[in-house]
Amino acid sequence: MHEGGVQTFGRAAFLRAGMVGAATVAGTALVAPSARAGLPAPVPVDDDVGYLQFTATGELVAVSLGTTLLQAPGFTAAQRQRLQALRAGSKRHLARLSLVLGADAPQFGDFDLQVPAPPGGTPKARLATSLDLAGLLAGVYLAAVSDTVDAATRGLHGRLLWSQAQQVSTLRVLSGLPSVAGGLPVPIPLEAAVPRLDAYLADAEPPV
Amino acid sequence: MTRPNVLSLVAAVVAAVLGVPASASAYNVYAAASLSTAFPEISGSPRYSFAGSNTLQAQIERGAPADVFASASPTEAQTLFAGGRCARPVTFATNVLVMIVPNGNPGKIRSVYSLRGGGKRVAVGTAGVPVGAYTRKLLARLRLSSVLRNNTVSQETNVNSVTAKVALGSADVGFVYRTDGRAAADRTRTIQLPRYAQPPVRYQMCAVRRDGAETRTANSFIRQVTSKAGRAVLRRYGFGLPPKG
Repeated sequence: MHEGGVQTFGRAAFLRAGMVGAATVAGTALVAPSARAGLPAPVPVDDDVGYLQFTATGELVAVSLGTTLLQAPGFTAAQRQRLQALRAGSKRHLARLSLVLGADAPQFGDFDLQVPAPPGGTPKARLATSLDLAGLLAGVYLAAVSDTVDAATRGLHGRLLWSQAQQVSTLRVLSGLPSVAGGLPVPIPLEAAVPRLDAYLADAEPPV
Repeated sequence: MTRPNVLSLVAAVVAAVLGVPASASAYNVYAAASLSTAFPEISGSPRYSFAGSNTLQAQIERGAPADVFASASPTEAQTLFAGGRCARPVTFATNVLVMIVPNGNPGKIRSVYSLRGGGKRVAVGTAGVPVGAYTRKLLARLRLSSVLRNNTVSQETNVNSVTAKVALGSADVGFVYRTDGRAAADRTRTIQLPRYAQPPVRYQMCAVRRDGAETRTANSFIRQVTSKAGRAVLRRYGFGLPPKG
């Protein structure tokens, strides 16, 4: 559905986009302990939860954006394969963050998702939205690495940053850009990041 | 038959059809303070007690004559359910947190980040009342828990007290529900808070189990609130609605 240049996805569509994500979250939860063997479990202290909550919500949006990308026309089979891998990566990130947040983890259905309709609807324009979000998340992971108090939570953010950098690189290649951007990335503090993520979120409003 | 008698008869028939006994006015609804404007419009029949959900929960645990309990978070209703003091709670409304400032905004507050510098008078709910618990959770998600230490903070026992404090100019800013901001729109201005940081605010309601409880009327009231007409009233006051079913 397009409304005034903004593509909106109601609760049902957002939930559908997340169904596979939720299944993956559950699946990852089952296999994750062996993969994490030897690493201390994150125990966020005080406001450490801020970065976890922000990035979990961002990954939730990334999964949904990935689903809409895969449904869009104009991509080759090889590109679709990469897009699928990207979405799977976002789901893994979400699973890791949700394990730490527990019952407070954001859920598909907590929000309606609104995505700016790309001008002309070209694949490149659609990719630009995902690339923007991926870059935002990388910047916030970077800020989390420097600001988080709990060492294990900081370590988790560092590992997610490493993985997210690969996501950014893949999206750049798909967009026809060099795989590596010039210069070093800068951390994005939450205050600056909040309006950029909130732009994707609307209150879920089911009918009376 | 005189006209008043006809009206009485019609009322009795309607009550019978709706399953509301003639003694409907004798039942008690204990509800979160944030429901104090919407509930009486949905039904004028019960006697209402509006207060902080945790206070009402404690009163019911001590044997207060409540027939329906409606709380602003699942915690209180679920605790009563777990203790066998009420039937299984149903979620009937949602809400979101906002900040309100007095008209004229004397504290010059533009966003929640304006509170980082300190020196403001901030009204919040106590940690035990749902609006206070939600506020603390939201501030932690924004990495702004320090605003409760850096500013002059007054802790109120229910959301209506927070709203009143701001409306009277005794606080520069208060954390309340969107519905409270709407209700006090003539005296205050609302400032939105980031969506990602919003904890899910869920209202739950249950029929209280106790000796002498008006269970039938309690269930009838719950049906009224969750009916299409009840949901329309809640929506008009700014509440969100859970999916039907």
